[in-house]
Amino acid sequence: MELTGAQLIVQKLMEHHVNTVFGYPGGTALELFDAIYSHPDQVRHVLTADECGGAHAADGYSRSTGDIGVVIATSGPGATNLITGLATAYMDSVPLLAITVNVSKNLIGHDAFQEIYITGATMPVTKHNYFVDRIEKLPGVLDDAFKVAQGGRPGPVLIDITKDVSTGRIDYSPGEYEPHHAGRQIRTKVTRSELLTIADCINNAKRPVIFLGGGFAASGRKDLFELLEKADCPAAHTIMAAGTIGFDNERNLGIVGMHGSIAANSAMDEADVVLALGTRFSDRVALNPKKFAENAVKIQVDIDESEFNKNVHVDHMIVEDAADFVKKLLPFIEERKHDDWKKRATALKTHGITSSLDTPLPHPDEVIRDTCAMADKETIYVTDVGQHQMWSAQFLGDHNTYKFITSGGLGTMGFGYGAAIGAQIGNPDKRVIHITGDGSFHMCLNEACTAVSQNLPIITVIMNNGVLGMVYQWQTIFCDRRYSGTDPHRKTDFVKLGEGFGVKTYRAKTRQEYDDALKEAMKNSGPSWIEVLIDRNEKVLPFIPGGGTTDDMIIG
Amino acid sequence: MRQFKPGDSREVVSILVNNEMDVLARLVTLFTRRGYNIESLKVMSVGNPDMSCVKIEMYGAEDDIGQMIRQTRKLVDVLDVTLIEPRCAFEESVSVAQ
Repeated sequence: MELTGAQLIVQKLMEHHVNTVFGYPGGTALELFDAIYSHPDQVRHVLTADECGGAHAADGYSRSTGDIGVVIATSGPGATNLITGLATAYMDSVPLLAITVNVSKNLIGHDAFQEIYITGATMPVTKHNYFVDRIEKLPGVLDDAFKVAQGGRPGPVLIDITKDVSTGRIDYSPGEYEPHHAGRQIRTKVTRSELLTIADCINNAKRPVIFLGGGFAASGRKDLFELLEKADCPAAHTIMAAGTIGFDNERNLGIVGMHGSIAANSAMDEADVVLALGTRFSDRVALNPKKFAENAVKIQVDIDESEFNKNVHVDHMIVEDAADFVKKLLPFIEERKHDDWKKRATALKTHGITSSLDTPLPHPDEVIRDTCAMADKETIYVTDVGQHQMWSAQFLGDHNTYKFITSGGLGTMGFGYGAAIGAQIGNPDKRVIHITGDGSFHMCLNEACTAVSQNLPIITVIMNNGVLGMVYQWQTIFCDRRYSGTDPHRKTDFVKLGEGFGVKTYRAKTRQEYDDALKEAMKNSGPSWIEVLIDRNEKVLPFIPGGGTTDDMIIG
Repeated sequence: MRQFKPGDSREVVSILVNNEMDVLARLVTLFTRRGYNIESLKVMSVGNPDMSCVKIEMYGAEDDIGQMIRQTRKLVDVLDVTLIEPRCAFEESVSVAQ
């Protein structure tokens, strides 16, 4: 069949079972949006407030469904608005496909209206990108892009096509095209001798800990509990793996790192074997990489070999999908009992440190705990970045497992609302709760128009302390209370603002008011905002300053 | 940017790449963002118009060189990366960029 380049893109999206795209139209993307318009039942387009929100929405869609997220933008500013979203997905290894339409080939390099070299601009924040200025390349590039984004360690991929490619014509038959180069395949299969070596380490360990990262959370958790039982050891995790194992599971010691639990950080210090599954030991986890788990034989399992010895030196490196590795390792693990070690490791276990601040306002841990207690177990929690994010990671714990979507690597304030929209569109039958702070929410609240126009029942909890809390906390501790740039004296009335967007809004000054508002919000068919006032002196604790160790932990 | 340190060794990596128009930019961007200096760089044809060979000379500790090779291997348009004997690497007279 003869198709235009734009029609071919839509055809390929359908072939790859993409039924939802996020994005924003524009001059050069005219034909592409026209082609989407012809398939309203197969490809749903969700218009976001801007392309950045669209990229975050595609990201939230992908993280919550496991399918690839797709975002479409026009040239120039449309394309540059994607960059933060792509970088966020890149840092957290989320499969994303961004399609942009540049100016026509004859205008490329002439500083034409809304021309931008977006492949150059996004090289450092994509797994790969493609510039397509000949229509014959397009089918192969599209198939490759899906493969690259989802294969191995997933990541975002951008395809920039010229406008004349979108209008050009090609004779296309599904399955018949010239394959584009898909790159070298890296070996990702563990060998039997490696399995025997690792099993030997774990079978002979006296104080083993299993340490879970985002790579494990993304690859699936099904054999984890059997491994924990058999090896009889405690587990700890990064923020990216929050929700993989519920806090009420007796083996879960909590988060490792800067705002990690005393139990998890101490266990890392005392362990004699650490099996790290899908984590890169980032500087927020291994604050002092030379002293991280320094008494342990460290085994790192990662699908990306460049993560080995990048941050922390390890003793054994296994290139394998983390969940596949657990499945393959299980038959080699012998039943063990480590009662003394388990008792010692879990003795220090608490949620994050609950607030003892004397204030009539609700404490952050109360807000998060009440949310968790009242919400359905299948709830998807999406956060922005800052104190509220850490409180959420610390206190959303009682469910056995839950979906926790957060910008861990890039730490993107303003990620939350877009991501929540993507998560809700990908999971129409599940409750999505977006937990944010007043700082972050000011960066993404424009997406309220999307939540309203799509009638999405997202509940946004705005923890409003009137300051940029995380940096404010650092300034309290490190800068002698010199609050430079963090006390903006904003007068935003979230109740009136939300009403202006068409959102149902609530304001809570006490714990009871918050619980009542949440109960009401859960009845709404469309979006709700609950502004809950908290004291600006509330802190995220424990806190290990950058470069520090458990000995430097601040707990009050 | 990482500067030469005592104990660093001079290494040359030979990188076989797909002959895509922006592949050199990808390599240079990768070295730059990972904080490594490129001492010298040369691009050569390999007799197959679909591929090219890029030789990059760099200084670094053993771990850094290993890390850089592993990072380079991840680029989709990189087909192979090997360490080669520095003395043999730049016998040809012209270096494309420095």
